[in-house]
Amino acid sequence: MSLRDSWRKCLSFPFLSEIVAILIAFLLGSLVLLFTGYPPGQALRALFRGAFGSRNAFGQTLTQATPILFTALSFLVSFRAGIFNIGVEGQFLMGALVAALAGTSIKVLPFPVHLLCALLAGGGGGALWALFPAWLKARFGAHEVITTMMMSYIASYFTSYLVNYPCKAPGWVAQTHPVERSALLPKILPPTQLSFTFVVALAFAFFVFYFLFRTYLGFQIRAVGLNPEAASNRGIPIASHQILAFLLSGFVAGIGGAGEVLGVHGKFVDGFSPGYGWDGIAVSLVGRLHPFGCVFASLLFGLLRAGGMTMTRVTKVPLDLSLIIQALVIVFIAAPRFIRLVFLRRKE
Amino acid sequence: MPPLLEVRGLTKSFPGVLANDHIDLEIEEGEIHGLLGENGAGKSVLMSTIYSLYRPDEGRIFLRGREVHMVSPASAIRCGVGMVHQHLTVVPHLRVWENIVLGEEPRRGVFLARREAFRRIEALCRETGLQLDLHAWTGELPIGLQQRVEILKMLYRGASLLIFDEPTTVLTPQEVDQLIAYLLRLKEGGKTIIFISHKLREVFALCDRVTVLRRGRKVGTIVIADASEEKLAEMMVGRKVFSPKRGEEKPKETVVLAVEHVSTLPERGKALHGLNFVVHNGEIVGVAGVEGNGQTELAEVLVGLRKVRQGKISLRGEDITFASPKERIKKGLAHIPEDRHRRGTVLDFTVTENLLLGFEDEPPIRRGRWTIDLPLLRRFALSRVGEFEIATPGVDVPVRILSGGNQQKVVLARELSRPVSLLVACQPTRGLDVAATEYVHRKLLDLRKEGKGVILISADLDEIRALSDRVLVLYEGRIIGELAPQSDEYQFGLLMGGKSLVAQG
Amino acid sequence: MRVISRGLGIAVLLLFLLFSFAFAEGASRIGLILATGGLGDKSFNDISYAGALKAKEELGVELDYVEPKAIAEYEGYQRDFASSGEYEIIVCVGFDQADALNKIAQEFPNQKFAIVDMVVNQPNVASLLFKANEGGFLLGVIAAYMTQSKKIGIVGGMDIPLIRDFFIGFEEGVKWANTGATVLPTVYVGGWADPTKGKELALSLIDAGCDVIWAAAGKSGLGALEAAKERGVYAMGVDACQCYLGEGKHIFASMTKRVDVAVYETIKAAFTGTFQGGVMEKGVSEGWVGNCRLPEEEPLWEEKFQFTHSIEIPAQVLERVKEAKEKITREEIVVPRPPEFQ
Repeated sequence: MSLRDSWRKCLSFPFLSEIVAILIAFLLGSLVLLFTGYPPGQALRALFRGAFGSRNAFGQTLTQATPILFTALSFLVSFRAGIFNIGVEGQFLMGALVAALAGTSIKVLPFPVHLLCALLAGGGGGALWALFPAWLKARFGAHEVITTMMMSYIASYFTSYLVNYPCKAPGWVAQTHPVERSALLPKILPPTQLSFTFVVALAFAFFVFYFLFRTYLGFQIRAVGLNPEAASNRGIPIASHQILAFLLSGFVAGIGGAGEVLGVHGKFVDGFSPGYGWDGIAVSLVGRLHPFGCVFASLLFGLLRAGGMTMTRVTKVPLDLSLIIQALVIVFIAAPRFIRLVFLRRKE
Repeated sequence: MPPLLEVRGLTKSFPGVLANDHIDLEIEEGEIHGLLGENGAGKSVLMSTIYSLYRPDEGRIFLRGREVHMVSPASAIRCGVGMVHQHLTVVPHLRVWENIVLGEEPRRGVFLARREAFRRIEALCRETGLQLDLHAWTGELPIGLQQRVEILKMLYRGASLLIFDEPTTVLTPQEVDQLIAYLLRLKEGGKTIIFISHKLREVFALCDRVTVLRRGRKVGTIVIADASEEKLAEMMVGRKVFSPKRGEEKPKETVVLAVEHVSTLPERGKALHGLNFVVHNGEIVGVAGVEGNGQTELAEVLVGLRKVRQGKISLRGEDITFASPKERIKKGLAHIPEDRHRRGTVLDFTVTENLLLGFEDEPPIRRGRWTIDLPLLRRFALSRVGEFEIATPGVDVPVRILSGGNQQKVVLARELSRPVSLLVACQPTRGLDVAATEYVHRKLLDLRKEGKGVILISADLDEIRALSDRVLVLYEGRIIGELAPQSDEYQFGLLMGGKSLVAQG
Repeated sequence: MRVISRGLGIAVLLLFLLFSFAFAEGASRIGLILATGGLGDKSFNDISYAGALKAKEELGVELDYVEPKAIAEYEGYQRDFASSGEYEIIVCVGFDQADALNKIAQEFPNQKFAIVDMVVNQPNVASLLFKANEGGFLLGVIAAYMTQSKKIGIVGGMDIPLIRDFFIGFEEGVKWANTGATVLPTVYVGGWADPTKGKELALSLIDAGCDVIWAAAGKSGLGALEAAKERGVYAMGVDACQCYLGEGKHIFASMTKRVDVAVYETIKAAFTGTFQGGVMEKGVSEGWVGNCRLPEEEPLWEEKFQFTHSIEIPAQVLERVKEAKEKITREEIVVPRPPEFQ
């Protein structure tokens, strides 16, 4: 009772535990650096310079944050409905591919219309990829962790096949033709890769927030996620709401993939995602499963990725080290209870 | 001779709460000492502090006249103090005997001295009369027997002072009787027992003296022979407690609910067979029976969570046999689910959100096509909280942190937010303290007075008999008989045991 | 709470201390962006790195390199390198960097770049190309002597000029050696990442009587080498010395693109002020293309990949290869190319 009370008290300081976790992660990361023979001060300086030090760095940070914000939001939507959509990566890839196909094959539409079509097509591709596991769950009770994960692998190989063979543009690289100009999301901070996709992502964060916390449907979905029995007791249909959340999750992931294609790369390049979907799950947890938390968490991860690039260039510290810091952040934030216990035990 | 345990001025606070405020307590050797109090009165904190789970802010503890400074449960155990928690701490994947010796294993070299362990446990069982299959897997035993494992564990460690923290809340009535019997036997064997409870019946059956706590303060200690239920209840609650009294009004002639020949399939529970009864306006119909005889299923059929295979249900003359839960709610069917944690509330939702559940998609709360009108919702929540006297730090805290009584009030407030014609109340006072129980009873009687129909399904026969106009007894999914509430207990017992009364008039 | 805030304070302080480590600004450096395979690929990445390392030691400057994990990361890395302004030259390894580099080179017109094995048409980019036909010629000479059945089979990745360039030179070399050996018509996998199909095609060539197999087909080519091993016939490698793949047992020679030489020379040119943008296509005479069995190359590869060639190439065969090399250098032999190259 006392423990619970005290850590509830901790919770009232909004992001304290997260900040502490991040600092601890950086400290431990520095120790790892020190023990592996790299100068931590120089490495961390390079990391931060690469994340904020210049216009380019800043653009790179936001660019890196964008796809994981989408995938984090996607995971969040399903999670809030009590569904563990592990296969965000697959929906993300399908969204990207469908958007690329829409962006390359449609040639008659003018700029904003074509762009909108391609984006929605991407979202639809993601949603469609989520539909099958959703149906399996509703119809046969197949557990979504397994089905979505498998669907994710299928998506990864399927898209890879398509851009290696039937949809491949001539040339050495396995990629589609470039998307028509009329379907491209404009860049925001030229010459960096940062595009309007980032703004779309922020808009989606707000949309997800509004949907979950301000509409009755979102309220029902959250009720289903937290306590399906109580929800059905009050007349909320569980299965249809879970399917809805599943589709919405896939839609958001698909838009994320489409955004990468239409905003950043201008085409679908084989293997362009270094696992954004999987990262999204972690980001979602670090962001406390709240849309706005996800915005900050994705920025943090973007920072680590972008800064990590400069860090490996300047100090030869392998990029994996900034991944270690990422992992540490996840460990410390996803296990905040652990931290609180450690601190409270000492206090008692 | 000094008392076995003496506590002087013990104070323990948590952020925002003074859980124990300068409490003095004396426990004599060989007595069973009751510790009574409403939920949140500080009983568990006091005992956990004595057991050294918490460190006191102030105060001293004496054992047999010598001051002790125990720093951990381990040192408490060394001092002969053992505690059996409300939620058991046995390891389900170990055998019974392994659980008993766990942490205190007799050894021969590096090996476990199995035979030695068995000898000691068996001797202990003989002494205390606590019989157990030592080879059974602990997790497969009923809760009552698991609790025995826990008790034996304490005795095995040589505890002479045993603390029981609300041991009966997890037990069935039969198990409660057994527990009381062997606690008395332990007392004969010279053990001293502190028994925490808020159930007066148990305290009267068991204790020699009772200390009552209220809001962190000690109200007093009295010898049980000098106490009466009314007096103890008054000490706990701080004012006179009224036992529920039905008004004189006669139920009306109009039928609010008619259940005709309803049967169900036995999936996920018991099948119901040919249920046939009506509820009139202004009537409370009690449903009694030993648990597991179809009460849960009956409630589910009524609220639309279980499919009817045969028969017809009508509410105010309208056929609702195949109506969805939502449609039934809109037609004025309210429901207090038997498990307020699983079905009644969403524990991680705020008070406001729990009050909203089921209204979210209707105007005026739903404004426009999609949006929830937050200011209106807030006004709605605040008015509910005020009207139903829900004690909560605010409307935006999760329901999880409220006491059971206040959680139940949230359920009531929500269910009664809409014009109701029939309330299905399942175990509405289970686990509630005296004041909250009184409150729920009052609400049910208010509904009756307003001319609504109420179905009261409860395992507490006293409650049913005190409130109901008529009592149906369920046995194996059938209504085996109907009794007037004033019929004697023997008749109820027979019916609940499945023996129908031939001479039923 | 207090403990947490105190912990926070200490953490901030420590971070600050770590930051106050001196940070050495480099003068002028070499930048190297490897292809996605990363170091340890025993191919372009490793060899480019070796060339850059040699330049670094000789010139006494710093070398910074990165190993991108996905194609999507190239642009970020290139911009990161270029925008820092610390690099005299940035070398990009791998054809798939071309798209990104085309953009970045325009963005930083004063930055010198080099790209290996691909053309980027920007004035500040040196595109390092290798005359594969000449390397093919030398390999063809050896193959002509090594075959017993007088039938040689070749497997191509795709039927494109770039690949036909290898084979035209090869066939020419076989003919020049004049041992009566013939090359069967080239078979194409149709992709770079399909070892299964590469193996199948090689097996069909072996069934047709070939006892020497050569593949220029990326990862698909590994399947062909596997097929040769399975059937106990000879095989040859491409791009870098691949003889180590069969522990030197069935792969007797590889045509080599001396990316290390190209990278080294380009970096050196950049530092000595002789750097030129545009296409740098060089071959046997400049030492950019060769064969791992040439006496001057053999120890190099064996040391780098930690193995020894165990198949003896007869001395007179090596003499013939040397002769061919000299004649190409003196332009007495002009190895033909696909018409697209003229």
